[in-house]
Amino acid sequence: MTPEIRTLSVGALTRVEGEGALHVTLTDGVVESVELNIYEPPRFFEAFLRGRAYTEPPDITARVCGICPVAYQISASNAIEDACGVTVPPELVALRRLLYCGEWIHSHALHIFLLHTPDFLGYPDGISLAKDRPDLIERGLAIKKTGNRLMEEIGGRAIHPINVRLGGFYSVPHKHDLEPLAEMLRRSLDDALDILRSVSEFDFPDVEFDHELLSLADGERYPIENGTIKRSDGPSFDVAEFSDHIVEAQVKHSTALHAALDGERFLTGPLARYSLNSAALSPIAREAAAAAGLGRVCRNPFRSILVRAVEVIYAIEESLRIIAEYEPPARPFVDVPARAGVGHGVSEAPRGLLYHRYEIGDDNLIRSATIVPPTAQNQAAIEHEMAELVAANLTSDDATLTSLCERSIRNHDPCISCSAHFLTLTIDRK
Amino acid sequence: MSVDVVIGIGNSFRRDDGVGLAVAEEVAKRGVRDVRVVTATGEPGAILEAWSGARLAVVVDAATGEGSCPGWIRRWTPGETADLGVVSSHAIGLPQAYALGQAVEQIPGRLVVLCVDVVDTDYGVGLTPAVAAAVPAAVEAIIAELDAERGA
Repeated sequence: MTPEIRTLSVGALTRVEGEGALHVTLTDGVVESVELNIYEPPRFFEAFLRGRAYTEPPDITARVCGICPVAYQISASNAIEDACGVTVPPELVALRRLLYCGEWIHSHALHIFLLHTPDFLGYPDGISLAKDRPDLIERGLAIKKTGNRLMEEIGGRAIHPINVRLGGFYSVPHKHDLEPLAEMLRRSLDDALDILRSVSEFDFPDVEFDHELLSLADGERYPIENGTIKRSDGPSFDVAEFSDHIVEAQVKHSTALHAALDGERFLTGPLARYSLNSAALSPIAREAAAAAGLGRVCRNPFRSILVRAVEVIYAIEESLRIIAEYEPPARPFVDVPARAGVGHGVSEAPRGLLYHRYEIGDDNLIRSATIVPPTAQNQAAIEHEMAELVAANLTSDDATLTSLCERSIRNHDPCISCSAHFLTLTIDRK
Repeated sequence: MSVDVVIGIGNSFRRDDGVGLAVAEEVAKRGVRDVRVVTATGEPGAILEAWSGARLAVVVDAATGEGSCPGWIRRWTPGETADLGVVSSHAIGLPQAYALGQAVEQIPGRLVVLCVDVVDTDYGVGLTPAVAAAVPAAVEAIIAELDAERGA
């Protein structure tokens, strides 16, 4: 008997960062394979960092992504400072955290309002949504603008900031420069709290997944610009042990590498970060999360929009705290003299843990570089979630299944440009 | 009095894609009173902010496509085409940014888009000769739009 073949296909995934496709094969009603096909060309950043001066990776790797350049700058700086044995003083770390908060605010606002909310309210895109719900989009754009302003003030410009250097910054703001930002942040905090209330009223599919969760932890603070590595099903480990646990491998169907944690799929990003660190949120963010129906742990990827909204609230509060405590440092940076050796650096990009490793040679040049972005780490988990969702909805027609797969991918706000360093969907039903 | 704005969009590290920035830079040198000149990467939030509240916004950008002729300058105003298809998976295009601006009431009183046909958007700096030669004409076209708005 000829097997029943069913094919679902999406040519180019929309409302994600980058270019990719999806291929699902069903044979006699059983999910045979789900492949997230990242076809954006590989970008060879790790290769062309070799032979560059040890001071260059923060600026070069910032170019990996227009949405999360600060993540690249900070993970790179952390790694090289580690190799050189330099500790950056707390007042400069606070300024890095402030800059990073700007990136979280603008990146999450973009995803929440223009990319993710249309999925819950039945709109094809953010522009159609804006015509009916200008209230949501106006506030979203205002919040995003606040994030961009923070990046301009601290980073020199909103995209690919130019003020970050090893050991700190080229220049630091005067205290009075930050006062207008504080006013914008206070208005955005009210908007963000309102938005979380609105988003919490969406209908969320009732699903949970059992991936191991991986995130940074940063003492009593919610992790952003540094930390140690924490996991849900095993002991924490040091950043230097990253490659002992997380191994990347090539797969035929993707130009991005697939990563595994001790051989198993795992998840990094807002859900993991929140689930492993919700106790470290500020009181207002924690109360807002509880009021929105979030427990201490969230394993439903559709509810990641709530977690992102909570993280926006947190990042705004953190920014206000840092600005209130800010006194300009005596020097905008500390010296980072070259030292041959290996350094490891991590930080929490909006989409999850971002790892950098550099080896510096005796000639002060980069001998080797390794960058493991969050989307590469999450690919196996994303494919697993789609396979489970398709298997649970086999009676749905192809259009419904296709839409479900696209939503499933957008739940993780994948950054394909970073990982290739996404969606045409094809579903074969055999 | 409301101010007019000239917005140059582009990336000067992708050769001809920098033409919008080059034109904006030349317009800025003219020092036209009550005209703001800004540059942008194409990120829609920044564009909405730049033109919101302006009486006239003139946007200058690079264009390419079928029938493209390097150095030609094309003029577009909203409503001239119904095609709002997504042209990029990374960001939304200018017509979509305008539609978004309409929805949230962040549009200028009048919008004119001047597109310069380009030929080389590969990595690197500097405009190709045909595109560089179009810069003075694009500047004059913008000045003419600004003058027309003031009834000069």
